[in-house]
Amino acid sequence: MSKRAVNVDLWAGIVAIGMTLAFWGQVLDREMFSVYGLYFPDRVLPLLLALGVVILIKGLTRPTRKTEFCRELNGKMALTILISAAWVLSMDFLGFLISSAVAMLLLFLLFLPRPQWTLKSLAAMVIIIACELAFMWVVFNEFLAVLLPLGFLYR
Amino acid sequence: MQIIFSAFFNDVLTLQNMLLMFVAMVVGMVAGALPGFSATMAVALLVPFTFTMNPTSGLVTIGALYASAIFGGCFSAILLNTPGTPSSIGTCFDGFPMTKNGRGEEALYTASFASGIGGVLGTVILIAFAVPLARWSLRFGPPEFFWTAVFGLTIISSLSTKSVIKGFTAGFIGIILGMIGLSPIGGDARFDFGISDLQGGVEMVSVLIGFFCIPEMLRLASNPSQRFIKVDKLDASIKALVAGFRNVFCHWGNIIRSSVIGALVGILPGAGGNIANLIAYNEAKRAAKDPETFGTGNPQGVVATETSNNAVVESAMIPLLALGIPGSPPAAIIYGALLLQGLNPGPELFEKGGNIVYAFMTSFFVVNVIMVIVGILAGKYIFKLVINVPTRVLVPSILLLTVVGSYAIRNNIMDVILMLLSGVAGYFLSELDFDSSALVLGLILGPIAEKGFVQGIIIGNQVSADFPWIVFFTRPICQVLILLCLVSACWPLVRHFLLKRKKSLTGGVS
Repeated sequence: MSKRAVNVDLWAGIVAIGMTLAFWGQVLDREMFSVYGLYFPDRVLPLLLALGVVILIKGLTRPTRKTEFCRELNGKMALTILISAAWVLSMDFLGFLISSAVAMLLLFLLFLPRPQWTLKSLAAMVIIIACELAFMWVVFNEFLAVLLPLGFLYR
Repeated sequence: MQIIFSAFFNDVLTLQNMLLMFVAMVVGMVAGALPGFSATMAVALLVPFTFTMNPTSGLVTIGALYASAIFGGCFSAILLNTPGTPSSIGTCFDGFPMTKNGRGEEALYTASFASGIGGVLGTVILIAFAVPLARWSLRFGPPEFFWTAVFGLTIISSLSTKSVIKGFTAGFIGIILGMIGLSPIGGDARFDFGISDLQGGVEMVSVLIGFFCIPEMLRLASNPSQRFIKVDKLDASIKALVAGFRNVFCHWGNIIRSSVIGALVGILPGAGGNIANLIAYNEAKRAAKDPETFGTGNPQGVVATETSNNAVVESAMIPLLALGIPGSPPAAIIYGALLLQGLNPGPELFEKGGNIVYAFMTSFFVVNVIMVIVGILAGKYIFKLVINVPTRVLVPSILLLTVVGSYAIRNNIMDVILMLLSGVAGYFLSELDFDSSALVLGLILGPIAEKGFVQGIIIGNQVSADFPWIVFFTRPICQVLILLCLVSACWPLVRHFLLKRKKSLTGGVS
């Protein structure tokens, strides 16, 4: 399969300009802010916009093309991002222990080749997860006074 | 001089104090190595345990914990590309590439020796120049802080290897991310996108973890059968130890330069290891004969950052002890600990509590020596542990550490969400050739620059209502800093020109 070369300068310029506009949009209502609250953003945002435009122009005139853009992005990476997102978003509701145990188990299964899905390896996974979570819980919750989320079960 | 020796030999070198320092150091290293668990938190947690101790024991224990927590940040920076504390950001730049090249053990030993020597030189500066340096630091006002931040931002020109324009763009993106939340002057809630949790601002350490660690984990996740470290290139322990020793003690120029940078930045209230390590890294790169190897695993990068951030620890005590001004959050907690022990920090402290103060100051000598030994032993076993863990176990375990670390800073789920978002954004931005280190630099220095800029304008309005900017250019320290900014920003161009000229003179023969 032939890979298309991606014009990274063009995309970088679009990202920079997009970010600038998104942030600028937040301070359009000038009456909401004091003069000192916008003094610095008013100087930085135009500079960022100018840099974005320069990169965009470079992308249109003398582009840098990458044939290996995001070459590592595959199903495993995408699933890792999804599982991590679900882990983080569910932590407040399910609690640190439950959400972490489920997410780590899913990640272990994702990374373990299918032929190695044996009872022994699954048991090893569960033991590792239990030990790591217990260690984290004791260190942070008990010794360092960092109260990790308990979740709906213990509220 | 006699009082210094007396304090050192009679009060510091006791079995009880040595044991207390050792325990505090082990705890400090663990705390420093855990991303998200800051040195400030570690020191704050220790203070209640020191109430019942005598003043000298209490203070040397706190000092040991503070110094080792800053040092501990290098473990995760070198092995996982995750700075344990913001003071070890620069350590990631060359420490992690060394690990990936199978030289992680050497990097850890290098960091241990560099931290030790940086701490010792910082202690010498603390003892010798405490009072004059503390007075000099008082001449730093908002305009000077603004230029110091700008000087830090000029580092981007040498950090950005792929594209300087994209490097500066990343730096500016970092600055605007740093503006999320309440403005430092005026207290306006800005750039919160209607999310109330963002009004507290973006937690720097969460974003650091995200930008540095998560992209590496995602790359490993894409191919879990690959090894995290190239084990075929591993150095033997003794060989790595000797190499680490040589990396440090055969480069005195780098050590002294980085220590002085660390000491000078550490004295300034509000500045600290997070700025010092980056300036020292930049200066080491600028002075090197092979600057192109920085960022690919040059041990001198690790030496510069680790020397400077440990010199900061001792010099941060200068304004605290000599003037009673705590310049950093850990120093503020130590200020409280001094008050609880019945000591009032300030000019009179050296007269009324001389023995205790000198014992505290000289204890850093012992701390830094023990730190090297403990660091070497710990480094050896932690490194072996990391290389022996398969990637499929390592990735979920490190993700767990990043989740807990981000949460621990403010007990806030939003920080964990931001960490993950930063990580995913960091992966795609690096694919677009934006430099994560430049972005992080902007995030750190942006708030300092804004505060200095706006306060400077307010001061300038009192001087001249028509030209308030004038205040940024007329003060002597500002002028020196402007000169340094110009040199730092233009140095890559000057170097390129000089190399080109040299090549043309030698007829292209290098």
